[in-house]
Amino acid sequence: MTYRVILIILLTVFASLHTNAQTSQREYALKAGLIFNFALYSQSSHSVLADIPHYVICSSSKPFIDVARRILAHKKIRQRDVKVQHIQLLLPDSQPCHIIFFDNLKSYSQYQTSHDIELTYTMLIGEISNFIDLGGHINFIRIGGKIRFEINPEQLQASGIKVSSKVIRLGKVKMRNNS
Amino acid sequence: MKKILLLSLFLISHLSFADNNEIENLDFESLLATDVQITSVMKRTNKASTTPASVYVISNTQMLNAGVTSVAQALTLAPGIQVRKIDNNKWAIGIRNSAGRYTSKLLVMIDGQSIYNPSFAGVYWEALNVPIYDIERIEVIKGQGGLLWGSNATNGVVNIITKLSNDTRSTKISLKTGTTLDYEMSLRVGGDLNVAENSSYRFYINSQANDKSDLSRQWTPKDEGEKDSFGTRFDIAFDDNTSLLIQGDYTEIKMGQTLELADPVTFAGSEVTQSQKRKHTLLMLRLENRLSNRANQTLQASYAKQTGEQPYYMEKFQSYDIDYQINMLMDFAQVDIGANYRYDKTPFVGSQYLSSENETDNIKKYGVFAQVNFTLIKNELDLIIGDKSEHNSLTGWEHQPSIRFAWRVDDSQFLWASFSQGVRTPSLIEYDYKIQVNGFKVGAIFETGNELVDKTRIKTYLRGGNQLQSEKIASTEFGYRLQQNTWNLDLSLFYSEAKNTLTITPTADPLLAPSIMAFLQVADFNGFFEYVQNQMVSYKLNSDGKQSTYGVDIILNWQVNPSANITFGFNYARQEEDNVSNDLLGFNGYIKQAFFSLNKKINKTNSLMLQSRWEDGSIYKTEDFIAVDMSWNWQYNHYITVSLTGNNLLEQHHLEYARSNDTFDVGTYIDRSFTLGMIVDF
Repeated sequence: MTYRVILIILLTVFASLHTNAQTSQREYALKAGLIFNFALYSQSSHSVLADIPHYVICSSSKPFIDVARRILAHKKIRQRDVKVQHIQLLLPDSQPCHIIFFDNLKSYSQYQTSHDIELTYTMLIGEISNFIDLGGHINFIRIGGKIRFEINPEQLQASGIKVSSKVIRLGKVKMRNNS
Repeated sequence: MKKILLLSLFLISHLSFADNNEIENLDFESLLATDVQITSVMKRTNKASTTPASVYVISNTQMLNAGVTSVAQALTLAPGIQVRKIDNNKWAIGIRNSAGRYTSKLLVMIDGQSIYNPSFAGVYWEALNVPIYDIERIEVIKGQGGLLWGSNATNGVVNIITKLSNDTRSTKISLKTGTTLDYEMSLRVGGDLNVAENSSYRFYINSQANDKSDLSRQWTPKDEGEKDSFGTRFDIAFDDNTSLLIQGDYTEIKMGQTLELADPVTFAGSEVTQSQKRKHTLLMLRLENRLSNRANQTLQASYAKQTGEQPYYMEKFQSYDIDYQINMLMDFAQVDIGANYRYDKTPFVGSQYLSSENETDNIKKYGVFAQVNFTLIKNELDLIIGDKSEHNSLTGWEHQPSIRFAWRVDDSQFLWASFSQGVRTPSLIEYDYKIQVNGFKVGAIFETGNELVDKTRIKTYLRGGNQLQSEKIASTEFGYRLQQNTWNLDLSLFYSEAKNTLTITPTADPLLAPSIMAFLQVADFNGFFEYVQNQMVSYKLNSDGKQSTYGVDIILNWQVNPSANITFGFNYARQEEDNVSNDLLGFNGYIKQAFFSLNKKINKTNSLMLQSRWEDGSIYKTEDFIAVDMSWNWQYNHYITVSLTGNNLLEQHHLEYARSNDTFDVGTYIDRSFTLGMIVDF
């Protein structure tokens, strides 16, 4: 018995030294799947997006892009192929995106400084604390080992994005607290 | 085992890391139901189609579409499980083995909290009253689960996983009535809490009553019943890394029943019709913490209290459980390590039929487990090794090692193999109790030729013993899965050899036969009856038997079109005992089941579910039967859903369980029934 206990303690110490802080690929895969559903159950009224041949999901997060490309390969949104685009800098003259996913506050702050989020027609999705208060549309949260999301329907509507009641029902409605 | 573990550790630098990032499908609800963080229920996240074990998941949608009214009935939706109704309240449920009311080879949990009764190490299914609409899914693991879940999971594990309260932040009312179900009324309210940024609660009350059966196997049916429950759940996410789950349930049941107990004078089986009352309390607290994005830890503490008032049998058990677990994704492997402690307080209450042999008033268990998943060939071949070592106060240390291989042959084929040892520790009844059972006939010991004498019964006891050893089951399983565009196949073959299985040896006074003959020779019948009244036969429990079990599970699922899904299932298991002296405990025989189900979405608002199970009856001493169930669901509007369910449609009634000698319960014929229901969600 003793050798098992020692082995377990050694493994635990060894493990805790070797764990690092990358978001697991599984978590990104789930988020990519949920983003696909947000796209499926929403529609933008903006003409710029309507004219793009692909449905474009953008992010500056390389690990997310790698997983999302695998998960969303050959997927279609309303007859359009889904294109997962890695964008280093989200500038106003960048290629239009239907959805942008932010995995850190820095990239979102950079986006905010170069875009007027009150006038954006892109669905802004994040995994950032207080993302809704910062003007985001949908924010991923983790509860009890599962991924859930907060959603601001008013902000989406203001951006010309109509979201199905199913998405709103499955999420947690949260209004922007400007203060 | 030790060598393999050390060898594997030596090899770790040459092995590559693989994160199981695959997800089953992109359906919205499925994604939300998928665990990203390891929970103590799952022990680790995994994709069902690439799990090296025989797993079947019953979804919430399946349960609602089938119109089931209890967890036990919900298990009929999984192919390959033996689910037999003894009467309108009691169930016999088993996996890869004949089912019994007191089956102790199946571990049942609600959200990771084991709900077994220490006396027989099984579950009172009738005392489970969780609202079906709040169950996210039921995972059924066929085969040994001892490595992860401990003793008495030798034949399978049933995980009942309820929904996050975050997903039940609405008010729901469910009303049902029918020909057998008198009524079911259920109310759940849920909402946000102001404790933390993301915290929520729900509270439910659930009340159910059923009528008695029309016909009993013996005597008059008395199996009407009432169940009342209330419960609550709080999910508090302090931040993205730490969340707390608190939940509690209380259930009170009162059930009519017919028991066959030994008459105090003649010792022959006689009718006892006193009802059974039970009160079950469950409390659980679970703290989950993400140490980093590749390591999680979980601490779970739970308490359970079970009070039962049966004729001549009182139970007042309390259980305390603490589990800790850490799961890590490391550069070389996935590692899961855990420790557990359980204390069962089991005060004994004697009666005319029951006494204690060893006065065992508590059972303690503690142990550790470790499991390592190595990727031998990236995205192709995994090796999973582990061991659970647990000490219990009845039989000491028990070890449950396991080795599994998972081979993704290509995108559509998956092969797995498992070699494991499981342990079934003796239950309190087996270890400690002395129970009076129906009397042994004199003629069964030796025939005198005098019919009156031969039919006279001698007081008989079933006696447990502290010399019993744990049953050890060595199990080998192979599985194959084939995934095609519109259909998939899941095949499992299993073979297990158990040693130290229970046997019973009847023992009596060696002078019994000569003494009886002496009375008969002088025709002293009064003396004979007086003598016999004071004699005793003991069925002493021993653990010197051997049993082998082998069989096959086949499940074929076919997505006929986007709106129709068909499942076929076939299950066969043969059980062979080397020493069957009495069918009270062991018997040779087989179980067979053929399963069919159709789920059809008729249009946006209507769906239909049809299910049929053909069951072989030989091992249960019944006729073979086909149970056909059909349920129609109509979503009237966004808030209201109406359902009509028919069960056992082919026959007016049939008998599903007639082995009363192992349960004392006198089964009834299960009637054809219809249930009308309405769920309002707002």
